[in-house]
Amino acid sequence: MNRDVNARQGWASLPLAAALGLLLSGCISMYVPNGLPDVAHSDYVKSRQPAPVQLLIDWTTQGKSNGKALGQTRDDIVSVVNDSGLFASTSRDPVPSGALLAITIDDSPVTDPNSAFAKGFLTGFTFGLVGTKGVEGYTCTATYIPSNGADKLTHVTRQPLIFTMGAHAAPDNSTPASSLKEGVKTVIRRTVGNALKELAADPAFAR
Amino acid sequence: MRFPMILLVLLSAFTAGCATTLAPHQPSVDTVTLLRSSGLEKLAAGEFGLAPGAKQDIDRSVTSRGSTASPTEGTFSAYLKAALVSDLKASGLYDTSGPLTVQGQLVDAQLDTGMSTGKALISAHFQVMRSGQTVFDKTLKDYHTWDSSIIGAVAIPRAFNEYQAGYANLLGQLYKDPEFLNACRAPR
Repeated sequence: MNRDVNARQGWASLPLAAALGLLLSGCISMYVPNGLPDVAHSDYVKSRQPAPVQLLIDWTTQGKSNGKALGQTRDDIVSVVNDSGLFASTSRDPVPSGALLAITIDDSPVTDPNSAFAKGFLTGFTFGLVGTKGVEGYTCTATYIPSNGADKLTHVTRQPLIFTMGAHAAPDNSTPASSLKEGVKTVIRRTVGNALKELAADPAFAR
Repeated sequence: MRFPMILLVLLSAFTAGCATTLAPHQPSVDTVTLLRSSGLEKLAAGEFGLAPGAKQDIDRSVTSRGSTASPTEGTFSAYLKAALVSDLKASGLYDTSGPLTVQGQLVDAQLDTGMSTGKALISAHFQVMRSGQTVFDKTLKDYHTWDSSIIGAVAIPRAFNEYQAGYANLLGQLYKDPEFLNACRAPR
């Protein structure tokens, strides 16, 4: 296996430079489709006494841990969990009851509109975007283990983020994001919020 | 105004290599549930370093198409130790006062970003000491591939993520190794 050589660097960086140039000149617009709503504090089913939980968070890109992205989003994810009021407290270390909540958000490009992966994001949302506009798919998986040895409860939510370049019209039923940071914050709020809402409504969670 | 800005970006892309710091390892829910149910005694992490004869540069940084990445911990052998400690702590299995200590040596670490297929190889030698006696002694290796891209902005970040995943895969092998499990369970 050979190490990469520096000679590739210049042309390989060209698309990035072009993308940066477009971003700097304001040609890229971002939209968050409204299919997945924001969750209000009162929307969570609260049928039991909140207890402390160990919270593990990961951000993956195409299934592999992306520490840089996690560093930029960890606080937003923790805020959604804490603001839900479903747990008395969250900590990175184990808690006496053994309760564990893991939140993983994966981002992967949606490149083939006919793939099963793409259909998971396009359900309930009408557009022929893929190919003419960029779509990034975010999948949030919330896994909860009530105690050591107990069965896992898993709830999954999905949210696309749409990028348009140039003079494309805004996609239907979408909210514009002024920046990538704002767009991703909205994605986190909605995917994590809805996954926790489903978890709270799970009869096994309330026991 | 637009053209000078784009030119500046292009110029910087052609003339400067990128240096980045890799983020710390994150314990996964699968690893924590695996370790919790493993029946292991609590463990400490001892000395981790480069294996004798291994190239010095594999411990310090990794390169993908001219971009260089280094671990927050300073060396990749220290990164491996920190990842082990992080997994053990998250699973409630870390204890520096018990009889068991895990030691490690980085044997090999390679990354090939490729044009269509990326490849990463990570190999380390692990030893478990129980009250000073060696009870586990084995070299493990992770080799995996992925779909790469000719576009550097896509291929390089993915290559670094996959390279880091190699260390997590290696530890995953360790946690599932029957000899490791036998060595780290309480003697009957």
